[in-house]
Amino acid sequence: MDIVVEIGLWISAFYVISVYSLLWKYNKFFKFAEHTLIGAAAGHFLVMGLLNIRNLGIGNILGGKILYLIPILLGLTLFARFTPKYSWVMRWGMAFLIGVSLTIYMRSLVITQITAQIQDTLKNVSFADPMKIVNTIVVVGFVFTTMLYFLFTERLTPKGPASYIGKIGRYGVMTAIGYYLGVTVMTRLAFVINRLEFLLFEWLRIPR
Amino acid sequence: MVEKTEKKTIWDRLANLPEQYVYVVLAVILIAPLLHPIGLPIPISDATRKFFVAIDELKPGDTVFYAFDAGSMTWMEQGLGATIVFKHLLMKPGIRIVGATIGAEGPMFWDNAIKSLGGLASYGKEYGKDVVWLGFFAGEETACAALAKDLKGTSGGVDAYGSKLDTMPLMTNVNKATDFNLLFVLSYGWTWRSWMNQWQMPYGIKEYAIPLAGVVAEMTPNIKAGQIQSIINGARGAAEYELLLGKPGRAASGMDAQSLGHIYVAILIVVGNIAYFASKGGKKK
Amino acid sequence: MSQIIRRYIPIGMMMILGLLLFAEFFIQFDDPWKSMVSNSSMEVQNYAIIIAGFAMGLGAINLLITHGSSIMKREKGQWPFSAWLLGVMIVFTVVGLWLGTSSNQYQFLFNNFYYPNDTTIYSLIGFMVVYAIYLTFRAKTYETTYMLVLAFLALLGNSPIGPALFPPLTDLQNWLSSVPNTAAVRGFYMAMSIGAIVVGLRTLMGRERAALGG
Repeated sequence: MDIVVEIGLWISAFYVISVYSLLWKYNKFFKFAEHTLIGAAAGHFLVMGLLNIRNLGIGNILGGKILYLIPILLGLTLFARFTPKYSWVMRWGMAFLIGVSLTIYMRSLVITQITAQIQDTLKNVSFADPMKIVNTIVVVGFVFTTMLYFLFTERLTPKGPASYIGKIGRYGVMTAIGYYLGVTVMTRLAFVINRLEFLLFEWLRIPR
Repeated sequence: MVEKTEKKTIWDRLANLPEQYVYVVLAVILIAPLLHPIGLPIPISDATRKFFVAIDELKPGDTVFYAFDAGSMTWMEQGLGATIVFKHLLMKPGIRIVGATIGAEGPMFWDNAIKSLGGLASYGKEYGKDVVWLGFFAGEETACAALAKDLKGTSGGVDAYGSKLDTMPLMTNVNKATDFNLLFVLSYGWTWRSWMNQWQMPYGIKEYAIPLAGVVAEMTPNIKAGQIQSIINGARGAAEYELLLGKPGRAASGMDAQSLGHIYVAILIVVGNIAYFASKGGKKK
Repeated sequence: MSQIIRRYIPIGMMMILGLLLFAEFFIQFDDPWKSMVSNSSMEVQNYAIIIAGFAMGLGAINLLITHGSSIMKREKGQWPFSAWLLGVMIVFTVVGLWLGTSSNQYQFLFNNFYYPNDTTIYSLIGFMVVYAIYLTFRAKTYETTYMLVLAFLALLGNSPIGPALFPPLTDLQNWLSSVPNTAAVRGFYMAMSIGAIVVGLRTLMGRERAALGG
């Protein structure tokens, strides 16, 4: 129905303008939009969580896999955190979740973020021409000094030979942050452009 | 005793412009090229070209996994790349697509993307035979690991709409990561890393990512190490892809505004520094 | 006894799960151990996905308690907003569960009440980042000058117009991205991964009290 689309468009435009009013100052329109978002997000995440439980949990139990009652019970223990007397019960569900997700995360880290990265660093060590020499010095220098700077910040004292590692490592950090800030501008501008396009071409229907 | 206030010079004012002035000028600079496109050039990068070729070289019968980790906060930029890649995949005859997400908002944008592309039927595709959507799985990296080993077991044997996977022709020979030719990850944050850790590294499947432009800076070590084959670099990458596909759309039309916006930021940095050193703030120790 | 139930059983559970999943990944078992370990770890991962689904409801419960209390107390200037918040949450939940998230009604709610708010709030950062860059990118010290020059070159190199106006910027941008930035980020992530593994192992062994709530 076109009228439904039109109503939706005006609701969206109202919220976009209400949020942008924050650029002038905090006001009740922004607060209203903010509370709408929080309620909608909570509701959406609740729905997705429940559907996940229904499909995987209840579905498997009804299919004969009675052991799937275990995660249902462990999941329910998470809500014990809201009761002061029995909040410790939540540790059972948390322990299961942490045990599995932490192990899955850690076991692949060793290869993807450590050994593979060391391999690639050393693979590119080359002294074939001046540019490759510069690249090798920069890469090997920054990789190890930045890593050591993060791991041993306190021990890289202001004075002494180890301090040079800290200084170069700090420049490594500045490199990463500076480059990140430079490239992230595109993302931020894309967000603003998208909202302006919505207001101009979808809401106000200005011809392109 | 009344303190004398120092008179502000032009440099003091330029070094400390009120934020509303900066915002208004930014808005004008972005709106102008949207209303009157300039047609500034958009060079195609090697990364986008490599991504394009990867899809172009797919053969009929190949199956790809599309991790549609869309987020409403980031769809504004990613939606451009996600949609054009989806379009390219649907345009290729005989390519089969299985989609899933570890982002709670992913299912909403999957439906939105298909609607915006005009539906599967407009590409001669049929749900269940060419495209299957498994839906959302909680647990982030744990879900990635579980899906890699057993799609049907992890999804409870049904797709996102409750239909049995065993009745779908596409899912007959497809159940784990090694059954796919390529992995495409639309990543709203760092989910590209989760899929890389649990699909690319253990099973060797080639991963192509569609991240935010700001996240690309963190991905370069993994791209260099060959863990990520290629990326679409935010809005600019999406615009380049549209041009490669011969279908310039929203991404390409926003590039004039992107270009002028970047130039504005660069001018602000230069003006801010000149004003800072010329003003009293810069001269004081 | 209460310490065993409250602390040691959860820690024991974490250790056993950790050992199972590490063994499944790093050790090559022969049959019948191979299928037993593989099937157990698969089930355990599915269980974790279900428990994570429950965790997604914690936010909603928290909001119910906080904003419900605000409504009951009739907090001046807040309670109408709290009532609206809970109303929106309930509508989303009822429509989503009853009609499904693919229904036109839920899509209307999501596309017009959730999406425009979320995207616009995030787009505010666009304006604020530009102003923050203008104010903070000042060449006051050697380090900030270095960072400023790098950010400036990255900004122009990443834009569509930069390489078109000044072609060498493409090669410079590629070099900046693939050499110094890659090296620095690589060092950072290697350090972070080592730290994550250390903290992770301490957590699995129960040495980190904070993980299970103290």
